[in-house]
Amino acid sequence: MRQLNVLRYRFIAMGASGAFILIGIVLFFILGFNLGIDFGSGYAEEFQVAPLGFSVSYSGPGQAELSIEGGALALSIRDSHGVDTAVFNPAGYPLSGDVAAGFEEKGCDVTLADPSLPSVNIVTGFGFPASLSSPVRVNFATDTVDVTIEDIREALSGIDVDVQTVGDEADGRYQIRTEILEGEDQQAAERRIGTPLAAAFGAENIVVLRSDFVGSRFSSSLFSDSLLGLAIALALILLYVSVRFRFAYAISAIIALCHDVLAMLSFILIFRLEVSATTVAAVLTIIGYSLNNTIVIFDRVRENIKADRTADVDEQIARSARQSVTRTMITSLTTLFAILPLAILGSGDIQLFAINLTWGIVAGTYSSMFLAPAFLHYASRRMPINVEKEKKEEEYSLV
Amino acid sequence: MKKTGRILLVIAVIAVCALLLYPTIRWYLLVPEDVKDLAAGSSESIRDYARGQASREVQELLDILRQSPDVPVPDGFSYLADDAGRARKDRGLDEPSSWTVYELLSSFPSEDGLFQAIEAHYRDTLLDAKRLSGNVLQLGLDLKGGMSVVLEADLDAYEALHGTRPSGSELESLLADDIDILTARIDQFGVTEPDIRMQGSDQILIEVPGDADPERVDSFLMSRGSLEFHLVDPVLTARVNEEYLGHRSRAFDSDGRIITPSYIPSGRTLLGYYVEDAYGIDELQQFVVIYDDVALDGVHLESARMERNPQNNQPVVDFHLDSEGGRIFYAFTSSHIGQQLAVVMNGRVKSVASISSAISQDVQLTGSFTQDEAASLAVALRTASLPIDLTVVSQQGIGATLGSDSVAVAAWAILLGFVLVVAFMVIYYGPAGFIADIALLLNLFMMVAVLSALHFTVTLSSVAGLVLTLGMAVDANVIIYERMKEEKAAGKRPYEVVRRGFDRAFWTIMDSNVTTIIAAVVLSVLGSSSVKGFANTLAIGVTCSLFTALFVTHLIFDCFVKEESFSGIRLSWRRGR
Repeated sequence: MRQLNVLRYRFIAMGASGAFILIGIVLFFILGFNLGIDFGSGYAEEFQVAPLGFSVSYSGPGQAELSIEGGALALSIRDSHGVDTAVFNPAGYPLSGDVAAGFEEKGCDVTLADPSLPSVNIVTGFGFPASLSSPVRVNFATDTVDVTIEDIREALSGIDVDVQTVGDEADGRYQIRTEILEGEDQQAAERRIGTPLAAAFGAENIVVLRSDFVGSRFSSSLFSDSLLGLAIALALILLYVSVRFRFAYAISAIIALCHDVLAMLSFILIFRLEVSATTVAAVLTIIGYSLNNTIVIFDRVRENIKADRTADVDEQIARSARQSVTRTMITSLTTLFAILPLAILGSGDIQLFAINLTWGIVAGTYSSMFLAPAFLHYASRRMPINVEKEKKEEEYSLV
Repeated sequence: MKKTGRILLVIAVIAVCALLLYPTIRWYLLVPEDVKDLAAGSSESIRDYARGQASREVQELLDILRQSPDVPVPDGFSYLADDAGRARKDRGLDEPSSWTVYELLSSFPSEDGLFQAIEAHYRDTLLDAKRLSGNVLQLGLDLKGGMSVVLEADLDAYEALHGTRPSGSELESLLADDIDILTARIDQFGVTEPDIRMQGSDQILIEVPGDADPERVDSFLMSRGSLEFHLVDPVLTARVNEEYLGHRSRAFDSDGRIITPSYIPSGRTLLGYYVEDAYGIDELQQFVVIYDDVALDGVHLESARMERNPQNNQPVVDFHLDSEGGRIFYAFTSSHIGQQLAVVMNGRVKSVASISSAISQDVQLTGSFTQDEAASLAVALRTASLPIDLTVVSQQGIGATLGSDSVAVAAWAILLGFVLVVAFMVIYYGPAGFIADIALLLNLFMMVAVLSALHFTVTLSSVAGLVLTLGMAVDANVIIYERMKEEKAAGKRPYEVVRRGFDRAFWTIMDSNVTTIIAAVVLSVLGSSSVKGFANTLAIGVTCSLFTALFVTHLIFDCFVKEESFSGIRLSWRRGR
């Protein structure tokens, strides 16, 4: 078997990476980032159109609270005698009318709207757990898709918004994003979206699952904080590697890291992924992760050079990368094993984060194996790494 | 270090982690479900329950006493034996060998003593559970639904009102007052336990789990508490106190509400005079009968603060009224000199003071209050308005369904990822893979213990950190095993393979993990709150993995591979490896 020499592929690797990053840079100038609202400031709302089953309130002695337990409605009435809890699970109460009857039995005032909805499809948004001192709406989704994304767009035509489907299309869950108008607060933004939606689908049938409001002051501080964080992390890592190794290693590692960051941003630009606070977290994680891989290889280079200072440096670098290849692959594999289920099964922010990480792990592994050794090769020509300097004990044990 | 010492250290670490996890274990496994339900209520509903329960149980005991005084104390009341014993000792009596209902009841000097003992029992149990629930590993808002609001001090509005901008330390104390007031307002909501804290230098973060209706949150941000001054009826007040203070079980109905005696005429109201006790609950001190006519409404209050009387260093509360309030108050006080005035907040008497002279705008309340009482009264008086206005800079609400969906998915994803990693290690490394998996499990255990000890909430992003750490934690073992394989291929004896494998991998592992920790710590210091959760988990996990890989796995290997042994632990299922 011919032995792997990573340095032989350095031009291919640098060319491919360069091209990929170039695409990213071009896209950045043409399209820009798809900024999430926590970076761009704005209002986002995730909602579902689900018919109203009934509304319920309680005026008896004590306080009544409505909550969700394992997909079923739970009513707890708390008074000086203690807490009385009743759970209306879909098995015993299959239709919305049955649940409503159950509430009436417990002394609640119920206004029935539609008794024939399947109770297993309960949709709850804000206000759960809810106090029943004022009427609380309980909505249930139907088994069919009644409202399509086109309907939503039509209802909101005339307003500058971005509508997306969230999760499975059959769930009929949508996210709406809009920029904040000058001087607008959360309630005004909510009304601007909510009024036309209520007109189209009926206010009582709209369940808001999540809302996000980010004012412009907050988002600008987030952006500068993120850049600052990136700069500080890189500077500290450069310092640490310079102290533990040599400057040639540190600068090669940092250039490889810059590649990783740019490759991730290019990926995000190419696939039009949303940039949010978690993206920053993903980028920083990959910095730590990819550096971890690079350090393991460089550590080997240092060890090999120390063992034989007369050997050709390039040969030593290639040999070290070869010796580390199994470990690099296995570690990448185990990390991918852990993160892939979240990238595939997860939803929303966390899925986005996992997708970013997955790509970052692939790109980081690749750059540690092919790019970092190549950069070290160039750096070692200017700053020789095979002359005597190390005096540190390279073997150590905790015990 | 000797092997015994190392084993002891590992056991000690496990024991400490188990201890750190104890509150969480106790809460989820040992606290009865009904106590949890009751403890989830607001402090007020806990008090109502404790009072109601005490009133019912006093009645029940008295009924038993009337019918058959010599039956042994029923099991449900055995908790009273300790209190009864102490009461007997105070009076110089001996404890009986077995408690009958008569002996139990006769131990208490009065019916009121019995009532208080029962109430204290229920109150302490529930408050203890409530405190415990705050100390366990909690799910974040994104997992259980809720609302988080970031508020920022409105410096422009403050400047327009006061002419100057507050300095850094001034701003801090203004915001601290805001936090006190908001906490007081949210507490009136009951049900949920809000988390209100300072963020950065000029922001306040509020997290309200559960009840995430933005309108309700807005309403407490904008609302004003009700504050009124009423004249006190001293004659009726004295009569009610004489009747009720010794017999509290008569003062409350079974719903924990005060019973208004029939001799209180219309136009007058019986209220409780409450002082905040050590538990943070308003404790009833005495009863006050007030006239229904409002002497002064709190809207006229402009500012209030705690001061000290320069003569006797007693804490006093100074407050300032607007000009209209000053006129009303002057007219009122000049005609009621020598009478008593009650400060009533949200239907509770917070303070009673004598009118010593006619007062207009600047009022000083003196009384026998402690510094804390004076400070909290000043806060209560100020609750009508925030010392510095706040604007909402970000607001996020998550419905509970979405939260529980995410929990289920995240739980499956973690489990799946974990199983894949564990299986892979065993398949690839054989018996040594088992050892790595033990280290991984220990790592997970340590992480959860540290997270719960530091009162972190588990958010989606910390779940991501956990997952990533699982993948990375085995890395240290991979490095060690690959080293061992090389040593083995070089023909070293098993003992040498283990020693050199660990020793040569040490700095590689240290260097590579320290860089990850650097990135994680920077994130944790500078990141936004969602990023912080991730970074903290990652930093803790990677640090724990240093211990589990370099110390624990090394120990396990040393236990199996002795210096003189010829067979080591196999690093693969393949023959001869």
